[in-house]
Amino acid sequence: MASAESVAGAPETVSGSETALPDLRGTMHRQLLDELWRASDAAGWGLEREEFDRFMTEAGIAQNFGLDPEVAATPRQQMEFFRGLRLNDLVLARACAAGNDRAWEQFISLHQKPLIRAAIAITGSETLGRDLADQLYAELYGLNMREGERRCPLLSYRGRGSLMSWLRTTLAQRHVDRRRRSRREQPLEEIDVPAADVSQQTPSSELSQLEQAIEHALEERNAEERFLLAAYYLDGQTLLQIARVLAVHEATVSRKLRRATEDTRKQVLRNLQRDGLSRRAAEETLSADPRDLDVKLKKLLQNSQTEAFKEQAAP
Amino acid sequence: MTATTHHEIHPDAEMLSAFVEQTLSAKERGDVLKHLAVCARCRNVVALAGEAAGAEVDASRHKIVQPRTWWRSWGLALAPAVAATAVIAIYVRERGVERTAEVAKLEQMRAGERPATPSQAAPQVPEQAGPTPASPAEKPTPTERPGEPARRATPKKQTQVVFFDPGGGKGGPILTTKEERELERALKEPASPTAESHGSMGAAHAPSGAPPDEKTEPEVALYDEERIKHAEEAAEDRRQFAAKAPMSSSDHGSGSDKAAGGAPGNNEPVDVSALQLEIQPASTAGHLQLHGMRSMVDIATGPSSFLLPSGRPAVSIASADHRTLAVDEKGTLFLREDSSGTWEKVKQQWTGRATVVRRRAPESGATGAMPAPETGESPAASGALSQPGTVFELVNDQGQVWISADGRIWTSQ
Repeated sequence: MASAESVAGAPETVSGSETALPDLRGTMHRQLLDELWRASDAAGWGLEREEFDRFMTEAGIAQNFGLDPEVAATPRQQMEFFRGLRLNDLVLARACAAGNDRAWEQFISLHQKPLIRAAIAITGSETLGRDLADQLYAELYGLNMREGERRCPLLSYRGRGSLMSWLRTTLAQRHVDRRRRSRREQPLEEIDVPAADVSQQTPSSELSQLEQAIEHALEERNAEERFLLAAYYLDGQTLLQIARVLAVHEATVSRKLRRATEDTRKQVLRNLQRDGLSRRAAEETLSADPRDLDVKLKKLLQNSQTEAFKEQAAP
Repeated sequence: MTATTHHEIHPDAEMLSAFVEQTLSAKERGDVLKHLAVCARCRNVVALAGEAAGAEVDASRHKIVQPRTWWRSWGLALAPAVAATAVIAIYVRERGVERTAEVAKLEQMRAGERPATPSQAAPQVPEQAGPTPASPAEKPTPTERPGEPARRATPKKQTQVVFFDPGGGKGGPILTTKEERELERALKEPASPTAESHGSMGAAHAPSGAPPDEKTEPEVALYDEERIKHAEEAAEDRRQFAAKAPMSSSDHGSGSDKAAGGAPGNNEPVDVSALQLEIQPASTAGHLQLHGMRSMVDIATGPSSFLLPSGRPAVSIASADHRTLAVDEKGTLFLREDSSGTWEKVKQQWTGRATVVRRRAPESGATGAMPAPETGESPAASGALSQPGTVFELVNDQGQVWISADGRIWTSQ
C-alpha cells in the first residue's frame, strides 16, 4: 500500500461524485487499485481490470468514501474506505452480476442455504420463506427485465457490509414491502397511516397541552433515544431485537431505554409546568389517558422523513 | 438512498446492512439512526434482518451441538451410574481374581509342603498305612520335586494330599467355587503316567515318576538349598506349635503327635480331597512351590500375607458356603462373607485362645480324612463346597472345640 506521503498532492476537496473522479484517478488511486486488484483475485472471477477499476471507483465516489458529501476525502481516507470494504464479496457479487458461472457456483455454495434460512426466519414460515428466497434468487439471477435490460440487484451491492448481511436486509425489505402493500388493502392500518394533522382533531385542552409537551420532549431526545422509544413502545420490539440492531447487549438497551423514558417523562412534566400547570396538575395530565397519549405518540413518531435522506433523495 | 415512493425515502439495503454490521462511519450511522427513529418500515427491516442473523447464528451453533434425543438427555445421569457400575464390577472382578490367586497359592504351597519335607512325603494313608516317622533332620534329595504329588493327582481318583494338620486332619473345604476351580486346575497339571498311584504318596512323590523338570541345574540346586532351609524352619515351627496346641481327642492326638514331632515323619498322611484343603498356620508352611506355575512361592506371599483387620496374619483359615473364617495369631476370629468382601470380627464365645478354625468333616467321613471326589467333576457341580448346614469348628489352645453353622454363633461341642 502506498503511503500517504506519496500522495501529498492529492485533492483535498471533493464537492461531488463526478467532480472527484479525475482526482481519484491519480497516482495514489492507481496504486490502491493495483493493490485491491491483486488482493481481490478479481481476475480469477473473470473480471477485467478496467471493469474492476470502474466499479471500485464508483463505489467510493457514490458514498464519498464514507464521508459527508461536502468533505473531500484525503488519500488516506480513501485508502481506509477501500480497506473497509468487503472486497471479496464485492468482487463475487460483480462477477455474478456479470454472469460468471463459476462465481454463481461459489455464490450458491456459500449463500443459498443461509439465504433460505434467513428468509424462513424473516417470514416465520417455511413456505413463505422459501417463496421469498426463490423470488430474490430470481431477481439476483437477473430474470427481471427493466427497460430491456437485465437488472441484477447485486449491482447495487457496494461492499460496505457483508454480502450475506446485504442479502438478509434485502430479503427483509422485500418482505416488509410486500406486507405493507398487503396491509394497505386492509381497513385497519396502524403503522403506516400518513401522519394526520393534529390540529384537525379535537382533543381536549389538556390532551392538546400534553401532546405538545410530549412532542417537544421527544424533539429533545437524540436519535438513538427516539429509536429506542419507537422500537420498543411503538413497534413492540424486544430488547434482544433492538440489541441486535444496535450491536449492544440487551442490558445496555434496557438501561438506555429506562433512562430515555425517565428523561422524557421529566421533560414532559417540565414542559407542562412551563405551560402554566402545577406539578400536581401536570402529573394528573400526564396520567390522564394513556391510550390517547399512545395514539399521539405514534402519530408524532411516524414522521417518516429525515432531513438527511430527504436531501440525498433529491435528484 | 432509495426512493421507494414519492414521499418515502429510505436507506438502501447496503446502508442498513452496514448499519447493523457497524461498518458505517459516525456520520452515516447517525443519519441512519435518525431515520430509524422515525421510520417504522426501516426499523422493521433492520429488526427482521437482525433476527435472521440471529437465527443463522443459532443454526451454526446447532450444527455443532446436535439436537439431543430423549435418551441422550439421560446421558448425564447415566454416565456416572455406568461409570460407577463399571468401577464396582472391575473392583469385584479384581478382588475375585486376587482372592483366587491367593487361595491357589496357599493350596499350592500346602501341596508343595510335602516335598519340602521329604519325610512328610512318605506315602501314608490313614486306613492303609500308619504314620511313618521321619527325622526332621532328614534332608530332601535333590531329585525330589516339591509339588509333584499334586500334579500327579488324577482327577478320577482320590487325591491324597499330605499336609500337617494340627487340628487333627478334619480340615474341610475352605475354598469358594472359583477358588476350587483354580486349585483343581492346578492339581490337574499334566501328570506322569507313572503317577497313577493312588493312596500312596510315596509313589506320587517318587522321583522316578516325576516329569522332567524344566529348571536348569543351578536353579535346582538353588531351589533345593532354599527348600532344605525352609523345611528345617518349618519343622521347628511345627514343634513349637504342637507344644502350644496339644490335641485332646484321639484324632487330635494323632495330630498333636504329628505336631509334637514336628518331623515330617510324624505328619500323618491324610486323605483329603484336593478340593477340600485347609490352610495351615502360616508358621507351619515352608517354602513351597507353586505347582501350576512351577515357580517358587515364598510363604510370605501365602497365608502369612493374609493380614486381618487386627493387623496380624491369619494362622488358620476355613471357608465354606461363601464364608471364610480366619484366626489370627492372637486368637481373634474374623469372618468374611463373599457378598460383603470385608472382614468382621466375631465376638469371642469360647474360652482360651482360638488356634484353628476349620470346616467340620461330614459325619460319614473318616476321621482325619475328607472324602475326595470320585471324579474330576467340578466342586460346584458336586456341591462339595456348598453343602447346606455346613459347620465350622474352632479349636482353642486347650484343644476344646466349638462349632458354628454360620461362623458367628459358636457353641461348645
